[in-house]
Amino acid sequence: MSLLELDQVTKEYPLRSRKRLWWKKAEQFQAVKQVSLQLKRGECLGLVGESGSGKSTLAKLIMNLEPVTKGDILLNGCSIRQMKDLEIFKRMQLVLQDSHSALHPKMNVRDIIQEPLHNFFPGENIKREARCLQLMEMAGIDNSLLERRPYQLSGGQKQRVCIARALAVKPEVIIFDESIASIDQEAQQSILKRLKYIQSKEKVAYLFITHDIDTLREFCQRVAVMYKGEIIDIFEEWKVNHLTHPYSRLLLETSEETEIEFAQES
Amino acid sequence: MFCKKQTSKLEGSSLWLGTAGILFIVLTGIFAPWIAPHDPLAVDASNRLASPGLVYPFGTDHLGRCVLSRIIYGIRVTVISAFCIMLITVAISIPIALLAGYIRGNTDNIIMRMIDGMLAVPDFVLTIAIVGMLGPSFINTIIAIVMVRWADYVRFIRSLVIKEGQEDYILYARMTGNSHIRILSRYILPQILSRVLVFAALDLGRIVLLIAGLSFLGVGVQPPTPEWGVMLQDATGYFQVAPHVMVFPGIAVVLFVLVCQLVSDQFNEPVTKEG
Repeated sequence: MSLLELDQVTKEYPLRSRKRLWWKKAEQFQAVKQVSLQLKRGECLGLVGESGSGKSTLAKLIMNLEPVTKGDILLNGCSIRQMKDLEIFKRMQLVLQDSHSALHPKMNVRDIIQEPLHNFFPGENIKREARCLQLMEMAGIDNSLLERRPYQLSGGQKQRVCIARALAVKPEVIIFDESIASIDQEAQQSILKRLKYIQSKEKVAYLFITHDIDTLREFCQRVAVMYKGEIIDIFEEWKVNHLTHPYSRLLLETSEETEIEFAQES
Repeated sequence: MFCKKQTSKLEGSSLWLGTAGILFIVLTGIFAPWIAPHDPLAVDASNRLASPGLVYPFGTDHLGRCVLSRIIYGIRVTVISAFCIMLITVAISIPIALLAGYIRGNTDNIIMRMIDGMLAVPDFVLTIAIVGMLGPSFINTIIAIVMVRWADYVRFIRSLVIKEGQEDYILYARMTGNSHIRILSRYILPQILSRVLVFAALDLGRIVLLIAGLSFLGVGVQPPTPEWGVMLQDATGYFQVAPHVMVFPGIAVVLFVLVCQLVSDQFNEPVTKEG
């Protein structure tokens, strides 16, 4: 059985129109259309697509931050609609792109990482400091940053703190929504290495949402392509012939062309 | 460049001038027994409506009471009650605004429609109506002003709560297992408190005007308590004979509102922009 299963998930938003008469039902915009996906324990699934294709909406739906219009999301066979928020957050975590606004400006790194430990594991007071240091080591944060506040950290360091905080909950699934898009290439590679190491150690499943095809190629076992709210292709092998939709073919071809051009230039 | 520097210098000086003015007035009120030359309630029948002089620097009123001493003691009543009103209003508004801004939905709609209704009526008219129903007294004046002013506070604080609630770290606070009450008390409230206090401080001048206005109309503080509005009301019959009896309390009100305004202008722009 899959750890996380999306069954025909649809999300509609009402369109606001000034011309609409009050007795008429508002027109609906489908941001996510009948998406079905499975994520196994310890797997890394990539989700790629153009801006506005519904990737982030899907992440919010999985975290139950927004209600699903149709379909269902199952976590270990249990619908998240029947689960309490804290139960969902205990098992799934989300890491967003903007690490700057993701950290409380008046809290230091120690407090930020220890807060989930305090909330989710209240009995383990003595182990908290040791676990905090272990998480920092896992996420590649130097111990000297323990007392620093977010404004004293670089973009990469902040993102690592966000990852350490997500790991502190010991989740089964972590969703990365463009999490490493805004940091430099070197820091990206370093964080990806860390994430691979964490996955091998903790058996966490990742849903990796990104625009960056190269990262997916390197990091994910399976890739789902999203286009206008729909999953149009899911593939494991990076071969254009295996793809059915023209958009996913184009996406892969563009990435291959860039790679060939780069190889020729160098 | 030169103009920019000049403007910022002027802005800085008005802030200091305003703060110094408020401090001076508050300290004068606190040390009134040592500063005031006479007892504010002592009647000197032989010196009724006396012009300003050495013994009575601001002259005397129709009962021969020292106008300067009454103005100084008036600070205690007017300014201290304004501070009380401000603090009570903030204490009442914060929980309501947190509730409306954080829960949103129908709770927010009901609270906001109530506020819209209250703000539709000018606050002075509404205050008079409430004091009229409760009966004229000092305590009832405070109750009436709080009942009128809370709406403005809630509307402003709610906007701050909504803005703060949309920050990513609030979402993360929820995802890391914090309860709603903990998020409100540990995350949102500390972040907005300083802006709320600035907004409340800006309201002081307005509250002082309301207190003085109500007392002038006879529905606020009652004589013989030395209060600026009461003094103005007492002096109306003698304005042509002894204008100083009315001019000095009037200047006191104007000065206090002016210094509050000087300070408020400095904070007003960023605070109202956020609101």
